[in-house]
Amino acid sequence: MAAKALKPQFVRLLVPAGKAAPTPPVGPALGARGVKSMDFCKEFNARTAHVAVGVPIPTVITIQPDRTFTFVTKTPPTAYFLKQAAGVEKGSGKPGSEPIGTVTLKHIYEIAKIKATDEHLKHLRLESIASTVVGTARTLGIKVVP
Amino acid sequence: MNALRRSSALFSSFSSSSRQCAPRFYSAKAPESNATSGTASVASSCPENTILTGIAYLKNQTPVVALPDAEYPPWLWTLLTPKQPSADAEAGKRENHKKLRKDNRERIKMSNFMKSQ
Repeated sequence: MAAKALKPQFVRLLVPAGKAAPTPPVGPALGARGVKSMDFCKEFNARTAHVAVGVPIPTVITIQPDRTFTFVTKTPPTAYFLKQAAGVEKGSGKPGSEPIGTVTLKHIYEIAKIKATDEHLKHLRLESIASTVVGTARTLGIKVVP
Repeated sequence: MNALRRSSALFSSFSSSSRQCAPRFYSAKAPESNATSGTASVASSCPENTILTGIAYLKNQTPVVALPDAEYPPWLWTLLTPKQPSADAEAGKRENHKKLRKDNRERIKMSNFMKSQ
């Protein structure tokens, strides 16, 4: 069959920093598209060397038709920060009924400052980012106090 | 304080031999800065120098501490109050927007789902 120009594929993964290479999340997702997972893991771990181990890092891996790949890492998920700040493991099963933890506005401010370094949030005012963080807290069942 | 700065700028331009006739004014005392006013509504439950857990996610990062209340931007304290509807010419304008947004989001989700099939 004549070779058709394939579009690059995107794979979104949430990988713990410094701990790539496990089979379940990373291996099949990349291997199925013809990428050597060892290569990705080495480069990922090198790039996240400055991050504390185990912190989930959302990454978007772009796989070209010739099986080369590039990837972009972003800041950890807002939900992760909120759960850490409130000291809870999991979000609430029933958000809105009973709060499972509290954070203060100062936490929100610091979290928003970190998220503002992300590429896709750079153009927003810090105030807007902070209100999205408050929204995420509401979804998690975490109460925000002044 | 701004009035003081302006007056001193004028005086300095005077001394640099400008030929203009500068108006003479006796700068009034600058109004009190809002450090003290407007913080009546702000009383953060998080005292200064509390360590904020979880924010420091980099290796060997110094723990992030809470600053005194005045060092945070003023909009921070308004984040929890719901937005007041301004004088709306149309009643129901907000509902229209909400419905539109909801429809848009559902349409996007549907098309995302179809693309993944």
